[in-house]
Amino acid sequence: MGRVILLLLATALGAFIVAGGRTGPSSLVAQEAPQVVTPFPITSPAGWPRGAIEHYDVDGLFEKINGKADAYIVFDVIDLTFAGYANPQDPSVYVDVYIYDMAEPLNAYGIYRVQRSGQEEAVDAGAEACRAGSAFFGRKGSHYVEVVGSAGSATTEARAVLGAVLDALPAAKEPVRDPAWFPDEGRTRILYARTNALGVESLGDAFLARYADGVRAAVARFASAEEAEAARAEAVETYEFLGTPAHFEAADKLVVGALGSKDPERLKALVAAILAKIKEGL
Amino acid sequence: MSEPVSRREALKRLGATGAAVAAVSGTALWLHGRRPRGAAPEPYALPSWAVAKPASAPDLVVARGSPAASLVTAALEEMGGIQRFVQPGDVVLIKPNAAFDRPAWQGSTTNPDVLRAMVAACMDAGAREVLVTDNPIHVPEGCFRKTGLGKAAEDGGGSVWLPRKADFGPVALPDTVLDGWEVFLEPLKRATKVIGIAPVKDHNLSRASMTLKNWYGLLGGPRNRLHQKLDETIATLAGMVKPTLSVLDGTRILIRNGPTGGSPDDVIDGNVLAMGTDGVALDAFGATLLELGVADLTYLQMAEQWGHGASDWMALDTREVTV
Amino acid sequence: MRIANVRVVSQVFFLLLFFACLYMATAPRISGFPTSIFLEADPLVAVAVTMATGQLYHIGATGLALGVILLVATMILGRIFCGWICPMGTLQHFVHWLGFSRTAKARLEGNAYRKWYWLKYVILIGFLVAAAFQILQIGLLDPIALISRSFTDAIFPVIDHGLRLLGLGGIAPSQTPVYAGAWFIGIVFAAFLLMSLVIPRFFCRALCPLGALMGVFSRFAVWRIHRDPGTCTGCNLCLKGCEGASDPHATLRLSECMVCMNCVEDCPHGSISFKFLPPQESAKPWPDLSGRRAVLAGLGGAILFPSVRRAGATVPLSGTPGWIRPPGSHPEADFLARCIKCDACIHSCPTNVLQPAGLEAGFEGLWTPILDMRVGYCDITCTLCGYVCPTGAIQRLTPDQRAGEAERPDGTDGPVQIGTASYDRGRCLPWAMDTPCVVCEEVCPTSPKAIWNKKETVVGRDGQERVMQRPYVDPKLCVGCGICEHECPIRGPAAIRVGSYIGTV
Repeated sequence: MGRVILLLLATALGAFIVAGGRTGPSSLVAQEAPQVVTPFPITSPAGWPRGAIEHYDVDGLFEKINGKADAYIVFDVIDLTFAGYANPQDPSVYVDVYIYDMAEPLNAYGIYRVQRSGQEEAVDAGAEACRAGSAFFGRKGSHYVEVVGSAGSATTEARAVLGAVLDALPAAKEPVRDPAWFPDEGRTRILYARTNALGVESLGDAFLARYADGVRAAVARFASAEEAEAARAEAVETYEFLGTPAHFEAADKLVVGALGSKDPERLKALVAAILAKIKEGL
Repeated sequence: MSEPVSRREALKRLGATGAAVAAVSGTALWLHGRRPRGAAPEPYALPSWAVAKPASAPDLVVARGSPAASLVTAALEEMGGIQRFVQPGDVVLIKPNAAFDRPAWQGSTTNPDVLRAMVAACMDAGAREVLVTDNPIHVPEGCFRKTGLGKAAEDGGGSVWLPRKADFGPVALPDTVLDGWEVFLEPLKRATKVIGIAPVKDHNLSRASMTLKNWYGLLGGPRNRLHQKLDETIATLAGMVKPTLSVLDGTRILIRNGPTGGSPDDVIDGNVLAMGTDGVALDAFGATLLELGVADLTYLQMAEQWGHGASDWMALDTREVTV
Repeated sequence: MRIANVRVVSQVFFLLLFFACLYMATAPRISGFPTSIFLEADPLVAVAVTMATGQLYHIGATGLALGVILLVATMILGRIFCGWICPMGTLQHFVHWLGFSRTAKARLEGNAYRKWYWLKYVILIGFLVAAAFQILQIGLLDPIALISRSFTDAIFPVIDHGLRLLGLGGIAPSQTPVYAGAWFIGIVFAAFLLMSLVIPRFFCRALCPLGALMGVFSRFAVWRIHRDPGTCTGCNLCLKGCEGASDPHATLRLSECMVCMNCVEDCPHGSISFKFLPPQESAKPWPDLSGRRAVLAGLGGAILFPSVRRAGATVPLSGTPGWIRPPGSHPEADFLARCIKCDACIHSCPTNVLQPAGLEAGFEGLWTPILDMRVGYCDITCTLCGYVCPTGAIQRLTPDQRAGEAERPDGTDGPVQIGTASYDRGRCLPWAMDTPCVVCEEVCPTSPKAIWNKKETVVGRDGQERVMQRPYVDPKLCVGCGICEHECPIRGPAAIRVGSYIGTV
């Protein structure tokens, strides 16, 4: 009996010592450096150090970009991160970087197209990028990026930063491309609207095209044919009430419309052409 | 009437009384007017640990590249070899910055790789022992553990000296703000060579914390009161410690939120390390890493004015090496 | 080996194991040692905390379930814990072995059952009824909490300081810790131990609520001491070494018997044995407690709730306690329903900031952990206090969870805030005396720093303008770690102090 107890005590001691060999409270060891998930490089390609990273959520967006914020909110912006790089020799030479997380690639496409006129010099970076003076704009995945160099002095650096930032951002699984629905002739821009396409509230999730003669066309997408038909009826009613020439047709889950010309035939022909291209695509 | 005591017994008893009286009186006489326990000891004047500079050797070496340990090796070689500074039998005291109980990547403390390489170099040069010490702000034991500096010191063959109350005593620095101040004396008394290794850090009050501010870690007493004259104190430290060698560890640079840091956003990879004997020159070079100039650093101007070094590091024999 | 000697080995083993746990329970020695195992295996802690919270707390595989295991062992073998394991019992045993009279007469008298030994059952009932009302005060007298607290606060610093004086280095990582009110904790502990010189195991027999709980459960024991009346000569020698004063010479008081086996050894006729299922009538199964006393004890426990908790003696009626709890602590009322005042957290704290509260944390808060930022500061990456807490009063967090970088079990997010700092501008050097300082900003550990400076041009008494850096606190970023208060050079109360409120509004 006594021996059994002594053996038990020895076992307890062994268990205690074995337990002591295991890892203990993690606060005693140095934590690993967290992987910094930021697309901002620590220094710019020319070695200019990065300033503090600023972070703005939807509510704080006005603080940073004032009235421009509304345009982003329409496209469901989640947040903006900002960081600046300055030339250590001359702080008046700088590059500022704005990265907008737009939640979805379509939103990034939409805000990019609204912000850019389409006349800018194209730049090969990300899904799409362009340049206006010493400012660069680009989109990739669900992000929209603006890189603003100090006027005249930081163009090269701004271009390099844009490339670095867009490279670091994740690409979309299915990149957004311009649809092939709109006839090319006289077309100036293709845009995207979450709602309110062609001034009709119910026309949502729509690609838009603008033509040199002022005509605007839209292809709005719906969850069902019934919804599409209802939206078409509302659009027709709206423009009949306004007395403005416009033409809308529904086709399955789509509504195709055009306006902006006094000639109803021009509008009808454009809608027919778009419908034909859509059918062709299918 | 009782029996009279015998002569023999009387002598014995009187002798015992006499011995007791003599012992008490003697002890009282011995203790009379002695210096009371706890009275401040004499202030101690620190010696200079500087060594003579060979004519061909540079004043300052800047090594760029990575890894950190190779920067130490390369810079030492350019300086004229560790043998210029450490001779066999030396007791080398290395003072890194271990001020905070934080991991090394946060950049608030000396890079342990730099310390390890320096300790190993001293041991290779034949040092009898290498003591690594600091009187940090956070709890010392935790600081040396979490920063990795304790392990680095031991890996290199050195040992960590944690501060104890008894290690501190007043320093003699007449006519300065630090005269009579409690200083971490014991390791300094034991050392025959002293090497400082300081990180490059942002600091709100003094603008920067580099090799001169690093000696703050040798101060004891209510040193937080010295912040009321921080620049003067740092400049005084430049005169208090005349090290054998000073190392400016810019392998990581704490560019903001110093001197504590805390976020990876506060740190950049500096990939640079400078070495020299003039802390003023080293700090003047280090200022450029923080995008500051000598004009921004009041303490540096004061230290130069008081003759503790030269801030124009470009005018010195400065050499660059790349790893 | 004689069974009583095996018991002595066991007692010494567990006392040393208890000391080893204490020794290991500080950074950086702790590693994986289950240093709170005595507290977790304490059935009274398991029962009372479960009554107060409705949950048998566990972290990892075991937790308070260990206490249930010990309770089950008691139901089979009797109060083996008291006689064989309990370090508090062993210490008393040791003291009376050292100093108690060794004459047979004195020992027979000392070990005679005294009728006021029912007191411990009254204490137990009072504490348990109070616990059912979420008032957990068992820690005052639970022997494991008591000995853990006493060693932590009163004895450990003395040993540590003594070792340092002898030049042997201390046990604590950096310097000898100091604890407010340790003298009182020490006196209470010493008094309990010294009472063993008057009556052996006075604390165990008269006061110990854990012993009482086990006394009730030992009623089911299937092995127990049995005296064979046929061979017994009535010499009463069995009483000479009876640790529990359980009347082995007459009808055994099962609830008092600590299974020390001395009677088995001391009986010259072999009449006493530790027997499997002995006849019922050779023992009194229930404690000697009248129903009226039990009811009164229950009422006494119940009245604590309206008189202490509701009357504002615990949590101030304003709702905000004036004291700061360790990081990860439950809200005050839930904390009090879990804290057993064992002070394991205080023992583990590397900066000495954790202090045993006197009455400043309310009547219920006696000897619970609060932070004194003038003594230490709370390292924002440290989570040791929660790691050693046996009852989860302080939740066990990882440093990431504390920093708000990982999800926490209670669903709160962001960094753990234990309080908020604010300036006393009448005492702060840059604010009141136009003297540069901002040590607080320097040491502020968050990134970005919660303390920030504004350059302000001030006109001094001499009419001269100078630029001052004046510090401000950003309450959104402040986690209440208190290093600003700790490092503030102002004598007396610091010019920046941490309050227990979070944020400002």
